[in-house]
Amino acid sequence: MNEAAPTPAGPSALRAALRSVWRQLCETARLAVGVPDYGTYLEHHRRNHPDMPPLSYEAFFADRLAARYGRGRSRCC
Amino acid sequence: MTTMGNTLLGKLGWVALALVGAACLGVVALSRGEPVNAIWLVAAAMAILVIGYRFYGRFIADHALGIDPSRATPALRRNDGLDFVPTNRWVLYGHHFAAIAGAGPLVGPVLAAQMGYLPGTLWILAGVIFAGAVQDMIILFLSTRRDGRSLGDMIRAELGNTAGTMAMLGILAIMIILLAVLALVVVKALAESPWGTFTVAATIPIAIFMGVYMRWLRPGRILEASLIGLVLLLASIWAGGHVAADPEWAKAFTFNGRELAWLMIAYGFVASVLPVWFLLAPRDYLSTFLKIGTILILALAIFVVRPDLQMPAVTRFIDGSGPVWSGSLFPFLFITIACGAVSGFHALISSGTTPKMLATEADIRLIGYGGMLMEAFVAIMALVAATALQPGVYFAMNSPTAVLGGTVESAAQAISQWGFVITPEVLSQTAKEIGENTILSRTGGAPTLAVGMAQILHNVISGEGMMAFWYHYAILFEALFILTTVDAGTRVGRFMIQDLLGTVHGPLRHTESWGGNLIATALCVAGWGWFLYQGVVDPLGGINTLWPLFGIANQMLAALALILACAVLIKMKRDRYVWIAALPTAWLVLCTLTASWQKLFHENPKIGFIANARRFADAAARNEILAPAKTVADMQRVAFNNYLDAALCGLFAIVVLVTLFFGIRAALAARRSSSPTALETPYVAAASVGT
Repeated sequence: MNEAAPTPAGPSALRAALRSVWRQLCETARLAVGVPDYGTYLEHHRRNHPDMPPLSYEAFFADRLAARYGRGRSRCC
Repeated sequence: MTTMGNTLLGKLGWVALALVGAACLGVVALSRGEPVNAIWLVAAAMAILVIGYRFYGRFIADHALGIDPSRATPALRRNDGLDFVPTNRWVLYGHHFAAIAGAGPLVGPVLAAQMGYLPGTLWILAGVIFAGAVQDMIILFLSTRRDGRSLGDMIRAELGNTAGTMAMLGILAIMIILLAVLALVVVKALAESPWGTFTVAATIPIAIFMGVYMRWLRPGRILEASLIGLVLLLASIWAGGHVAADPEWAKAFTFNGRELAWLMIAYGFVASVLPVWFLLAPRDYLSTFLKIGTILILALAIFVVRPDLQMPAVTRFIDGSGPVWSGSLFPFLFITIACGAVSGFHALISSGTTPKMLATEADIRLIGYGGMLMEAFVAIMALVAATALQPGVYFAMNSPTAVLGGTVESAAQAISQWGFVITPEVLSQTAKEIGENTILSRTGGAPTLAVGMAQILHNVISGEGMMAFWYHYAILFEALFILTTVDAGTRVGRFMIQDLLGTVHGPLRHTESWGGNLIATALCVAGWGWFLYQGVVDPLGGINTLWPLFGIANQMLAALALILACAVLIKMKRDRYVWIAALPTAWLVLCTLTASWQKLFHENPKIGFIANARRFADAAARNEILAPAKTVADMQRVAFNNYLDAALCGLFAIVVLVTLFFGIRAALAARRSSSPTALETPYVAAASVGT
C-alpha cells in the first residue's frame, strides 16, 4: 500500500514485513475458497457507492458463499 | 526476472540452468541397472519447467497472443468488489492453483508408473510445456478479452451454435465420467478398510460442525473454523486406529465395494441437495487447505528424504500387456496421464473466476502458464512417490485379483514371474505396517500413492505406528477432496441438466424450485452412480475400464479448447503463430481418436469394449459363466455395460470431429476476411479506468 514511505530499519521493519506477508497469505487462503478481500470491497464501495451502506462482513461472506456454489461453477479433477 | 534474461549475466545464468537440467535428465534417462535418486528427476523437472516458462511461455504471451498491459482487464472495467476484483498476482496464482489442482494429477501418474518412470516423466514435461500450459494460458487470455466468459459461451460465439451445444454435451459427459471414476477411486481405497472408512466418515460431522460454527457461532471466520476442523481431522485419524483395532467397531466400519458405492451415491445426492453452508462449503474449505498443505509437505519431504526410484526406467509393459491398465504406450500413456500434462478441465477454470480477477494482462503468463507448470510438478511428485516403492509392492497393489489370486503367496509368485522379485513376507509386512489387512489389489492409485507418501514422510517423522498414521493421513487427504469434487460436481452437473431440461419444460430450469432441483440432482447422481456401480462389479477391476474413458473425455475437452484457440488466433489475424495451438491440437485429436478407436474396436477384450461385450454375450448365449459374474443375468449386464461404454466413447469421438469441422470452417471464413474477426470486447485503456 504505502511502498513509497521511507522504511525504518531494524526489528520493526522486519515485523512489518512479516505482518504484510501474513496478511497476504490469509488473503490467498480466503480467496482459494472463494472469499475475496473484505477490505478491498469496503474501499471500492466507499468510493463508488458512498450513498449506500456496504454489506456487513457476515452478509458479504454469505453473498460470496452463494456466488461460489450458486450456479454451475466448475471444479477440477 | 524480466530484465535479468536480457543482460549477459542473466543469459549465462539461463545457459547454466539449461545445462544443469540437461545433465539431470541425462542421469535419469541413461542410468540402467541401479536405482536412480529421485532428486535427479525432480531437479531436471524443475529446470525444464522454469526454462519453459521463461522462454516458450514468454514467447507465446508476448508474440503470439500480443498481451497488452495497457489494456484494461474485466476486473478494472467492471470492478464491483465482489466478482470482478483486481487482485494481486500471487494471491490470484494461489486461487487459480487451488482451483485446478485435484486428484487427477495424483492418480494418473501412479497408474502410468507400470511402464516405468521415464515414459510418464517425459510426457508430463513435454505435455505441460507444449500443450497443457499453452491451453490454460490461451483460454485465460481469450476469456479475459471477453469479459470472463465461459468456454462453452466462447465456443458458441466464435464457432457457432452447433459447436457450442456439442461442447456443452461434451462437458456434461466428462463431468459424469469424472465423478464416477473419482468416486470409484475412493471406493477402492476404503473397501474393507475400517480405519480409512472411519476417518473419511468422520469428515461429515466435522464439516457440519464447521458449517454451523461459520454460520451461527462465529459467522465467516474461515481460518478459525478450518483450524478447528484440521485438529479434529487429525484426531479422527488417531481414533480410526483404535476403531480398526477393536473387533466390534471394526466390523461396523468394514464395507465391501458394493456397499460403499451405494453409500457414495446416497452421500452425493444428500450433500448436493442440502444448503451449501451446511456441509458442502466447509468440506470444500477443509479439503482445499489440506490439499495445498499436503502438497507442500510432500515436496519438502521429497527434498529431505531424496528416495531412490526402485521402478525401472522402462518396464516390459510398454507393449500393452500391463496388469494395471491395458493398451500400448501410444495412445494409452497419453490418455492415462491426463491432468498432470494437459487437462481439458482447466479450460473451464481458466474461463471461470480467474479472468475476472486479473489486475493486468501482464499476469496471464504467470497464472495461466505458471499455474499449470505447478500442477505438472505435483504430477512429478506423485510419480516419484509411486516409483520409489518396491515394484513388487506397486504391482501387488495395482493388479486385479484375477491376476494375483487371493493370497500373498500366489501374488508374490505371479509378480516375481513378471521379473519383479518379491516375497510373500514383504507383502504381508507392508500391510501390517500401514495398519491394513491386505495390500493386494488395492487399485485406483490412491492407496499406492498413500503407501508411497507414507514411506517418504515416515523418513521425516518416524516412530512407532507412524507409518500407519501417515498412510491413513494420505488416504484421508485424497478421499476428502475427491468427496468435495463429488458433491460440488454433482451440483454443477445438476445445473447443466436443469439447463437442458429447461429447453424441454421451462419451469424445470429454475434453480430455486425443489422439483427441478431434485429431478436434476437425481438424474446426475444416477448417471455417475451407474458408472460407479458398474466399475465396482467390473470383471477387469473398474479402474481398467473407467480411467481410460475419463482420460479420453478429459483430453477431448482439451482438444475442444485448443481447437477454439487455433480458430481465434486465425480470426485475430495471427496466422503465423497458429502452430503454437495447432501442434497440441493435432496431437490430442490423434490421441483421443486413436484411443477411442482402440477402445471400440480392438480385438483384445481387455482393451476393446465391443470385443469384451461380445465375449460375455457369446458366453451367456452358451450358458457359460465367466468370472466374476455369477449368473447369466450378470453376464448380460456386463455385456450391456460394455456396449454403453462403447457408445460413450463413440460420442466423445464424434464431439471432437464435429468441433474440428466447425473450427476449420470458422478458420477458413476468417482467412477470407481482410480484417480481424475475433469477437473481443473493445479496447479500453487501463490508465483511463479508475480503480
